[in-house]
Amino acid sequence: MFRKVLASLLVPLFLLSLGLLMAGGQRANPRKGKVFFKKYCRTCHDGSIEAPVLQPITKTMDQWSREFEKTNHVQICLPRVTEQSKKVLITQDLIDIQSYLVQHAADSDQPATCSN
Amino acid sequence: MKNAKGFRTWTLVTILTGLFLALFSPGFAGDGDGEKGDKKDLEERIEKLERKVAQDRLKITGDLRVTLDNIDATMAGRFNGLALQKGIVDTLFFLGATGAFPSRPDDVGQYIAANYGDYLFFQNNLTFDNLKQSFGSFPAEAQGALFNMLLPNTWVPEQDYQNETLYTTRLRLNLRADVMENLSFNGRLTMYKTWGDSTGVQVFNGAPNSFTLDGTNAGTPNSDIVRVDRAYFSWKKLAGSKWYLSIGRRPSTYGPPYHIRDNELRQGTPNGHVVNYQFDGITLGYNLNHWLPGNTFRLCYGVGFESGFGSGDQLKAPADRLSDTQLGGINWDIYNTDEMNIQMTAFGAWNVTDGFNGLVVLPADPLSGNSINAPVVLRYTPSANLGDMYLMDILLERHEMNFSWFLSYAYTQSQPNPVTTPFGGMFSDPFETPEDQSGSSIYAGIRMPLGNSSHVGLEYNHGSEYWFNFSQGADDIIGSKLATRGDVFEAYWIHGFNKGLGRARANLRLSAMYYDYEYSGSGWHVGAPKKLDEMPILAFPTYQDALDLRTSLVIKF
Repeated sequence: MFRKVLASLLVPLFLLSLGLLMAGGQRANPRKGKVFFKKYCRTCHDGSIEAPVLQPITKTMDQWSREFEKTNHVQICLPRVTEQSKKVLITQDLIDIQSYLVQHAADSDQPATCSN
Repeated sequence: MKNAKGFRTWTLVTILTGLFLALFSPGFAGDGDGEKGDKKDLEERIEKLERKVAQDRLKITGDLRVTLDNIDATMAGRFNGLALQKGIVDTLFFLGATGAFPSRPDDVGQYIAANYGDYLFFQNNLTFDNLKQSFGSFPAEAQGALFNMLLPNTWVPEQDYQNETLYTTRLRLNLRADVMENLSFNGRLTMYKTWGDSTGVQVFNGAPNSFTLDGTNAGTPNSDIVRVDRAYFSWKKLAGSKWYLSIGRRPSTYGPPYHIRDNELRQGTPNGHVVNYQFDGITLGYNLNHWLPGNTFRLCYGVGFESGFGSGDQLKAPADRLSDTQLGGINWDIYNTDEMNIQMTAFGAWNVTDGFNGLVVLPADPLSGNSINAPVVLRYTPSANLGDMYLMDILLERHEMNFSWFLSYAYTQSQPNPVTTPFGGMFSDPFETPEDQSGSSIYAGIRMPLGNSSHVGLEYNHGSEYWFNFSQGADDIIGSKLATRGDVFEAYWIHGFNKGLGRARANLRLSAMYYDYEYSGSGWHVGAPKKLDEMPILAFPTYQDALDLRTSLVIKF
């Protein structure tokens, strides 16, 4: 019985403590990315101007990854974002946005439009 | 020099000639014909793609999970209820034949051996009503004396139980088709088996997951049979309104917050604390997003037992025919965003029967208590409507910046009919009169990130003496942890093998789940719960405590 209690209580407590210690590290946060995407990207990419309409299901997971990693499409937009919103998007913000788009892409487990 | 000049002249002529030919030759011209050719080629390629997309009417995804469970448990000491039942039946035979109570149990055994033909005749004509009537006619002192004589011989001391390696494989294929605008089909086919067994039926050991039932057979290891776990259509925006309709085999398993422990997206509609059970039914929902984010109100209806087909209803006298078990209630996502989910589920189950249609191998006759030596597959059909049941749950689920947590409270209330069967009545023993009972349960959990690709989590749930829910379809090997009358602690670590920033398509999960049972009958509405540390009378072996160490690998495709 003692072994069971030990395994059932002390081990998870240890793991949770470890988790708490490591929780402060940098991670992709798709929820934050969703807010940023709607606030800073969709202002142009919503069909109101000539910029193409973009929402997560517009592209596949790989296409979104390429968009952020292999082309300069995102970099081109950054000055306009700063100009319009006075917000300077840092690398972590872009990772958050990318994770939101990838996790809700057309071929993801949870495809999403900007309305959900 | 002359040669050099001639070379330059020759070169110039060659270039000009080449340019002339290039500009005016049909295959190399930048004129309209070439553009038309490119456009035609492009259109043909797009048409092929469109045709292919139109023909792909079904989208198929799925997952394959392999698990290894290591179980270390203690079975509670008990008086064997089936042996006691046999003792009572045999004593009644002795009493009827001799007109006297036996002075000791051996007298009965010797008398039966000497008159075995009469004994078989007696057994064949025995009904539960006869048994109850005969036993009830005994004075209380006689009943006490009979129990005192029989009980000591039925004691089964506490036992250890270990299963060092139990492997299972689960294959799930998800189907989706967009039929037309706002109308879609969803399905899930599931195969779930232990390694080395594909019989499709288990020997009944007292646990709900040893019974092949409509509501549980896709959630408990069963066989290599591919079963229809889910199959329903959803029709959104009915007549342009915010109403939607969904009919079929429901997505009623692994609802919130059950998905958090598996690092999954929401898998089902009703709250997983009270419903983790396949059933067929109808949902009529209304979106109230304009009132609160994600607010969706659903009216749900389902059938738990159909009496009029397959159960030989027509063979029975009208008074003996059973009513269908009907399910109905509400599933209300009160507030549902990426950060928070507040959900309420409340429903009733009317005319609940003593078990549901299913396949089982019974090790003993519940009426006479005699062993059934040849393992015979039996289509079990309920014999009585035991009463009504009401369940409700309220859930708060939060996803903070770096961790997720939830708290859920559930309540159940029974309203039994004054009916019992050889297995008992609603929360009562066979020879008791059932009474209204209520039970409750709490379920709490937290999940934290551990590095970039892993999570750790801790969950706890507690169920009271009369706690009951419809979670028998959960794939916990020992038994649905959320049905436990007692305490369950679970700790887990999940490592996701991600591709880029997408959700993991492969997960390795290690978990330790410790059950500390306080009362018997977890997951059952039939029979009275017994406190396990008070030498209970139990028909089947029951876990006192159990530790399940599980390793699982899930591949999604």
